[in-house]
Amino acid sequence: MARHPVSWESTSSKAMSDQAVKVTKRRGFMLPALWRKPLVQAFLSDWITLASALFLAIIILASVFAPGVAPHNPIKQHLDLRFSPPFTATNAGYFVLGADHLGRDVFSRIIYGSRISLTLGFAGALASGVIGVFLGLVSGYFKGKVDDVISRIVDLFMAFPALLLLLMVLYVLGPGFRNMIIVFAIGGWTLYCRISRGVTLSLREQPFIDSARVIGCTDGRIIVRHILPNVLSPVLTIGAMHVASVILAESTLSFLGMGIQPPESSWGLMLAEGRDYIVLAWWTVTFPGLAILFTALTFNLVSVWLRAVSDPLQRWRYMKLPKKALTRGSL
Amino acid sequence: MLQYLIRRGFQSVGIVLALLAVIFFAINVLGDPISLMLPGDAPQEQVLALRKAYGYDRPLYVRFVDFYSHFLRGDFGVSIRYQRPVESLVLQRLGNTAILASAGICLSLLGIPLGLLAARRPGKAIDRIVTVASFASISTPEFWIGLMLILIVAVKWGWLPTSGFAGPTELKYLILPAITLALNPIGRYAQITRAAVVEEIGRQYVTTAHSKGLSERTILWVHVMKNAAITIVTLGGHQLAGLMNGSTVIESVFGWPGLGLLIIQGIQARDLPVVAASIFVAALFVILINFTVDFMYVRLDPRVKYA
Repeated sequence: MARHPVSWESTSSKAMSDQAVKVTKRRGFMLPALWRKPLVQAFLSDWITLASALFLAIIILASVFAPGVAPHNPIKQHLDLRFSPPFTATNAGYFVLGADHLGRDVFSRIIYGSRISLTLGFAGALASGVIGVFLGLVSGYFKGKVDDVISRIVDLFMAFPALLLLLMVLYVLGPGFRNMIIVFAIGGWTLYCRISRGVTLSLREQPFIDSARVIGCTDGRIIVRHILPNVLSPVLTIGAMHVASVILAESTLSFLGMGIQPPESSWGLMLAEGRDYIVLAWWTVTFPGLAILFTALTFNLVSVWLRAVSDPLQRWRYMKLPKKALTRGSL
Repeated sequence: MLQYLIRRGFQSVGIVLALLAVIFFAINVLGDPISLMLPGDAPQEQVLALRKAYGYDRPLYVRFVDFYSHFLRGDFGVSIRYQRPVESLVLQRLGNTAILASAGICLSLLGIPLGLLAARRPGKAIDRIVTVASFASISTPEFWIGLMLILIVAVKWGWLPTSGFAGPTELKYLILPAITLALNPIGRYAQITRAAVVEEIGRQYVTTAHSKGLSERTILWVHVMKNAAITIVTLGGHQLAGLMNGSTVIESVFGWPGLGLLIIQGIQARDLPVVAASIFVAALFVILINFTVDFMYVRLDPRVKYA
């Protein structure tokens, strides 16, 4: 098991692993079993993933408790304070990241905007995940005609350029939150379908499925109770990455005016609004963009880590190859 | 080989036909083509007149056949906004997009040496820097990079124009959009190359080459890269299709008059024929790229036999 740090974290300095040991020791008496788990140790000794997870936790908490966290009302306009630069103290309060073209606090708007951006990210990934996994399970389990049809449809969707397809559908359906979820579900399910179909195809030949069938399990029960749990691990990994790409797609669509519409606000929409004033007020476009960048980045990094530790094949590759075959040789 | 190509060609034709069906379905079944052309508060008689003028009062199956026969002949109708045939408009814009895309492709090849650099010393500082940087580059909204470049390079330093287009020979307008377009693929290429090379380096033939006393450079470039190239070309080639996505939004940031800007402007101006045609042509472009990549894959990997 992953007793050592994983992947590029494999060379983490001694100080890092010392730190991990310290954490284990300090918390050891509280949750002894959990903290001694190799996975948890690998997680704690890997500072990039740890930092990403912490950042995500902070962002999610901030968006849930936005009214308590945000220093200002995100839609309250202070027209006399338009384009206040960052770190401006006024009698209306302190503007950490400045104010936008209507004198609204950029920091508070980022916090409130995270609600829409994150909700869409999770909802889009969830919707496509549910559709994709369902179709993947069905097509991998039953094979034959059903599989042929579903696989052809997947191929077809994969052949289309995604953003153009999304633009087309949004153009027809009209912009807005609900339609964006529909669009992301249409655009993203193929990925999940391919993965879960592949896993199902190999699982259904395993002896434990035969045993289940012999003792009289129905197809539905076999799929739900025996195959689905095995599919979930790779699907969750893809899901973390997909949340990042949905957040990016949301910002792109909102920026183009095809996504979230005012008075609602998302990070992408903030960028669209700030774009016209980029010369006057750089902070209105810089900070929402950074929010998108860091959120998407941390989702991606967490996904890489999940993939590395959850897949025995990959784990072997990540841990062993760099150590043995590579750093010792001259290459 | 030839058989595979023919089959793959038929497949592409099928995809194009399905693409048309999707566009037709989206416009005529999901939405109402007239409401896509007129604002919501248009008077009833205007709606009826337009419906008749564009033939939308005919049954759906007649329109379906009509749509296919026109699009397959390259007749996309007349632009509502520009009052000229859409195909000439689209062709002209396609050229501009091709310029931007080729510049972007050339720049994005920089990702391959970056990935090699990382793969040679896995786990070392350079590898971590490249890995995190490549993830940062694919986690950044492209249009935001564009805005930042405009802000810093064009506005603050005044080195290059903020946006616009002055013919294909004016390179200074091309630099910023091309860099913006390339950043995301650079990250992806670095990741793909790193993964492919790390995997190849672990194989036994590399150990053999080492024990034969070959130099590191020979092993890397002659042995490893030759095999890694198969993966890089296939995975990397399909990333090229993503350039089309990127250029849509980047063109609208930089005011580059390509296909992407045409789509966005068409949507804003409710110019349905233009939107449908440019999405179709852009998707056609992508399908063509994918076909070419698959073709190269067969050429590169002698082990693969497609009978």
